[in-house]
Amino acid sequence: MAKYISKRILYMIFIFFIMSLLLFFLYNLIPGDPARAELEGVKTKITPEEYQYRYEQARIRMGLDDPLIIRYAKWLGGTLKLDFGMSQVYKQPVATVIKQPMKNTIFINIFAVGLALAITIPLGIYCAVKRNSLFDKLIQVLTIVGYSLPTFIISLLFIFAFAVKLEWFPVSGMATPNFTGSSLEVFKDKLWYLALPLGVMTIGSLGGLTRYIRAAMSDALSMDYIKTARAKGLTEKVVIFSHAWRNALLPIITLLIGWLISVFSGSLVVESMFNLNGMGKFYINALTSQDYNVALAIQLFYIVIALLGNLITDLSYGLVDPRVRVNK
Amino acid sequence: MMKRKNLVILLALIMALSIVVSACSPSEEPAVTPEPATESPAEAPKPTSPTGEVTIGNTTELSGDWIPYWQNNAADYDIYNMITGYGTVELTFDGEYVINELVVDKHEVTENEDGSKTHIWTIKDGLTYADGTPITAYDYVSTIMLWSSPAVGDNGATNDYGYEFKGWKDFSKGTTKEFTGVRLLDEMTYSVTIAADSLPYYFELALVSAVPTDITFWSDDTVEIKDDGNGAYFSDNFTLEKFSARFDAARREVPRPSTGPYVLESYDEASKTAVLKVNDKFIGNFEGQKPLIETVIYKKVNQETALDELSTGSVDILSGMASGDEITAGLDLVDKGGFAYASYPRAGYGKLMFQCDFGPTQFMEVRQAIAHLLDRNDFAKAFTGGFGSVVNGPYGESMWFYQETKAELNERLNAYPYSLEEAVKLLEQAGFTLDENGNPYESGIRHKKMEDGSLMPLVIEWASSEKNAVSDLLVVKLQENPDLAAAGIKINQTVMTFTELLNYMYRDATQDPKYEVPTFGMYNLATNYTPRYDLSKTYPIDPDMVAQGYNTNFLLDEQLDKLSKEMVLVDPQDREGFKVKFVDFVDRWNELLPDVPLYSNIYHDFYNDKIKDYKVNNLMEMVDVLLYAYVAE
Repeated sequence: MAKYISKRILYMIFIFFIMSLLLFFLYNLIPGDPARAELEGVKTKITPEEYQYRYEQARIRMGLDDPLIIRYAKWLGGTLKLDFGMSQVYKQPVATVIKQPMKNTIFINIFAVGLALAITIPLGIYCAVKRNSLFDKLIQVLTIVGYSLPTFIISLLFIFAFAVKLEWFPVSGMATPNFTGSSLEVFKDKLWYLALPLGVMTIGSLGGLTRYIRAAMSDALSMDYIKTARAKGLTEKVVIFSHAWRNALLPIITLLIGWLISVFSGSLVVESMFNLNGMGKFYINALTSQDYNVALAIQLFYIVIALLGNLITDLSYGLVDPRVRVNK
Repeated sequence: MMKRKNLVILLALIMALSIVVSACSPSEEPAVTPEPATESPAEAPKPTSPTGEVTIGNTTELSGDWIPYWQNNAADYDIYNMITGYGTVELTFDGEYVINELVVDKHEVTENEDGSKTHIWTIKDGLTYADGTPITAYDYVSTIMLWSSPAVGDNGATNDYGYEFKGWKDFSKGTTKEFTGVRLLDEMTYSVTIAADSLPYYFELALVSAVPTDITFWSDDTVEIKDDGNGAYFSDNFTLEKFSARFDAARREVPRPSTGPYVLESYDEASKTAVLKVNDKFIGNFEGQKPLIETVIYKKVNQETALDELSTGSVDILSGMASGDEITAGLDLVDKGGFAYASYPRAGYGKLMFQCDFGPTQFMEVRQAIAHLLDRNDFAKAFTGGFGSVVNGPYGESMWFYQETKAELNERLNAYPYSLEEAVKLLEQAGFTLDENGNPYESGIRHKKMEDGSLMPLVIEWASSEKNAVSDLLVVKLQENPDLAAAGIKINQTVMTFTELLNYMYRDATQDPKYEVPTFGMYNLATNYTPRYDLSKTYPIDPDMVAQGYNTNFLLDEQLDKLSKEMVLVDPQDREGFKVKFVDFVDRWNELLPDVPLYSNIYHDFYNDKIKDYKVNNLMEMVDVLLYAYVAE
């Protein structure tokens, strides 16, 4: 097992270096001159000589005059020490500016993922057990609607219904400005603000996951060992949760781990619509404002998360299904 | 309130039913576009002391960098202005610079033998920061010294505060210790000397303006500014190495020293929201105006839901709305009651920009012909939804010198009305009289015989940025206009990222040698003007400046260059002289037509009608609007 994990980690390091090299070179192929952009505001104020002096200083400060491979080596050296360089937009270290959106995203996603799993797992199992019942059919229709509607539309509908018409929730934001109260009250205030985006995220994810769980459970429930279990006189609860669910879990586990890992990734649409300062919006802003140090750091972070996620998924298979356990 | 929140949190768990609920909502009636105007709510008694709370919604997100020298954004700059006051020079509503007599006890100007000019300022006694710390001349000198120092410059800030002062060049690069153009004369008196090569200058007051800065906030108690008679200087311990971390922290620190009408009380990085409370030590702006609104909240809103935020009371002010759809929806909201609006022209415009040193656009008549082939009134109406206007020169309609010369400009400027005939006449004048075989032109694309005998086709290469609504409309209104083809012109559009467009525009060979080759004769961009209307470095003919990208039009016209420089080389007292030169400059510009102004928006601010005395124009900052407004509840 340890040998397997070591091999996988070596493989992950190799992939990481290849991806970092590719990404760095790709970003540097994009035309643009950050030094020129920095001086754009003062250009008409200063003399040409002063402009030239400042331009050269800015290029030196940003390391733009070094050959690309040297720049890569410097950047990688910093990255390995968790120094991702400076954000061109915020004029602060990337590691500093990334903290708050990451915190917000994790906070939001813990609730969103928790809520989605808490609803979809029992719902998927129930629908599989009660397959073709009226309830199952209704859920199938609703999940298809939820699956098909773009998050953007759901967000607008939610805002219109619950914020504008009913005025139950605020239109956007993460907290009441100037709000004072105990920690619990602050937390509740935050949840009040997050209720709409969480609702949208949950609705948006219900469809796919519910149908996936239902399908996996339906397959498992149609197996011969379920008939055997029932013939042995086991209770329906034991049949469903100890026999069917455990076997249905194998295809679901990849999806579930993917979901758990998604707590680090933001939703661009929901964050933009509800003004949430999260990773999705932050990443797109970095790309559109050509803040490439930030965009690179985020992408590398997601690569590491994806590689780790794959490893955890593979190891989890072994935990769930002894037949695929490594070294056994 | 909390009970209600508990209830709605629980409701969040049963959100699945919401689609059905929201789908049943009634549809909106289509809006009718009214004419731009200003609607003011009924007057209410003015409070005598600050009261109430106002929430400002801005589509630009606060970054939390409260100082403009590291390039913060427009939203951050609003906050900076709210907490920064007591400038020795301030702007009037019309955008004119005036001495702030509430702050300045005495202001003397002496002209020196070397052609330089010294402004001696004596600050009034009794000014304080929000925490009660007295403000003296030392604090004004601190501002100039700090934001000119090599320490902040090497940290990435623009250290050009005293750029026009004597000795700035040496001081800002660390060559000399003393800043010879800045003197700390006594506790309440300091002076600044403008170098001879920056004079005369019409906006001289803008050059010598200063606000107070608490230098200990940016460094520590050990740092001192001294003056031994040769100019102000920092104590030796003021170095980048020692204070780099402090600069980084101080940029974002809350609370921070405040001299403006408000104090930044808190900033929530998670929700990007700032809360400002009135500064009760603030004695007023140059007119003695003190704030009457107690609390100001500044938050980000989405363009898509901004008006929903206003209608539900999440925000009270939405400023600078430009799109026709948004304005129409906003006016509907005003009609329903509870809200008001103010409209004002933009100090700038969207434009077609020509590069004038190669290809067909090097000929003035070609540029003029294109102006004749675009119905700009129709374009502006279509793009702004009826909330825009057309200008005929490089100015904004709210500028005082435009307002005062409007009649003369209207007489002298060519509005380039839509006319195929006029366009054809101009093209013939320019020599585009041949077809592709060199025969007299009858149809197709016009050609001109060049000096070397070759034929130049009348094909204009146009660079436009991606996802740009102006470009899309230009395709319809200009590129695909049948009259354009009838005139014998062809326009080829190339869509690219804005960065790449800038590379082509600046002919920036450092990025790729291909950019150095003149490729595109036409670009669509936008421009905005500030009260300091100085275009002296916009149309230079000096080859070095052209190579550095100062003259992005590559219009090498000696007269325009001269007029643009002469316009600001006027004594600050010579108001009439400035206006005369402004008109001459605009007249020449209008003839040469380096740009074709396409539309100038009529911005709309929508606000809750609890806010009274809301007066705004495009030259004012949000703080100026808030200073005069009040909340009637």
